[in-house]
Amino acid sequence: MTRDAAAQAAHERMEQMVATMSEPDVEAGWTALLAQLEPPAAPVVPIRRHRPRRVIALGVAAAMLVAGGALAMVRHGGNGDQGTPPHAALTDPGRAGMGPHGHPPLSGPPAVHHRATSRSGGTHHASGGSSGGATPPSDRSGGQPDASPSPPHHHGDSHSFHQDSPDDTDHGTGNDGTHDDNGQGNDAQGPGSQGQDTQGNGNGSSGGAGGQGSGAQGSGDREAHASGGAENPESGSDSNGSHGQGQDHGGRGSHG
Amino acid sequence: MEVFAFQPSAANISAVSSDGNREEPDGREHERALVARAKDGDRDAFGTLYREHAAAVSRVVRFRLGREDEDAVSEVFLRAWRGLGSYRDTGVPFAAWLYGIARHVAVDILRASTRTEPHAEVPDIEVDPMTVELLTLHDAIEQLPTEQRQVIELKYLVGMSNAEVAAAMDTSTGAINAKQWRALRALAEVLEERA
Repeated sequence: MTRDAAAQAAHERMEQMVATMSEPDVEAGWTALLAQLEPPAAPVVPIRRHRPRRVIALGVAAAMLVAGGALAMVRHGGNGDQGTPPHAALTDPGRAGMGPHGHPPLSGPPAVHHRATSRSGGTHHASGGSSGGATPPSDRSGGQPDASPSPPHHHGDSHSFHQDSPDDTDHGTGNDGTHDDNGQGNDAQGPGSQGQDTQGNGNGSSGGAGGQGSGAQGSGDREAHASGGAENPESGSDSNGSHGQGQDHGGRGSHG
Repeated sequence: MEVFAFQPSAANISAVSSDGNREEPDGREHERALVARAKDGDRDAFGTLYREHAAAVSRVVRFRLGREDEDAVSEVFLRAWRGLGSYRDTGVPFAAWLYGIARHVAVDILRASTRTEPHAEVPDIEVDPMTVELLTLHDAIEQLPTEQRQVIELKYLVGMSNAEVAAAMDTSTGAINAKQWRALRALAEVLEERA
């Protein structure tokens, strides 16, 4: 058998084998297959997760951090500047060195003031004031003649009394709040306040020879009332004992 | 699921060869349309493809397994349906893609059967003479080189024309004709040796 004849024989055997294979039941097979078919799976596409919330959260956190740092810096710088308020030094030289809160120093001037008071015949608010009973001009640069060693008061304790208290037994014309100093000075700004006494120039009638103490431009000092009277042994100290941080600008009242 | 397309080892498959001698088999446009519809989820189109290629797949499965196995045929088309999303029409006939799937299904079934432990003695079963002939030819074809074996299987089992086989193997029709005769001569020699 030649090679072509052998190849032809192999060809016939292959065709005969295929011909003898039975045909499958296509419809039955398709019916069985159709029940198993599911929607074709879509090609898998990697999804890149976008997370805007993370970016927003980071941005907010960064902004808060910067803002907090800036606020802390501003506050820190402000505290440092409060030690030397330039406006206080310019407007009120007498208050220079009192610090940002205007607390008067608790040492120094009171002793001098007391000596002056004793020398002036009982009037205790004559330190630096002009004698003769004349009403001195308001001296804003006056010391703190009656600065008692009472503890310093807080700023928040700045109750203002523009009228005498019903318990006030003095008969002075000035409004001196709730204490019974019978003074003439006006401390309309009340205890502990630092404002200026716009009610000033009250003439105390019970002051005797105290003359006229000028409380004008006072700092609301309850400690050193501008009363020229000597009735109050505490001589200007706050009878309530709890007020008065400012200066007694009326402490230079004329002696009676 | 990864679906392995039929890729002859000797050549890459492309839509149109550069030599221009290979003509596109008839009915390719019709088949492309059916495949496109099936990829979109059209079961009717896939049913048409099933009816056109079920016999060829059944022959491949039977030739590989030595017996009929409807479940294996269903498994082939089930994998094809699931893998349609990854199918790309490169000019290779759809039957060639199914042929590759059928081969893998047959291998999987044979591997699974080898792991099965017999629990009883194998009864004496009368073997069909055609089954003996099928197994003889199967063993002889397995001795052929891969390219010649693929030409024989695609030509006789799948029922492709020379043009379709040429498209599947990315060669010319004349080359397929020559390879077919060389494969038949080699097969005859193996059968003669075994006889």
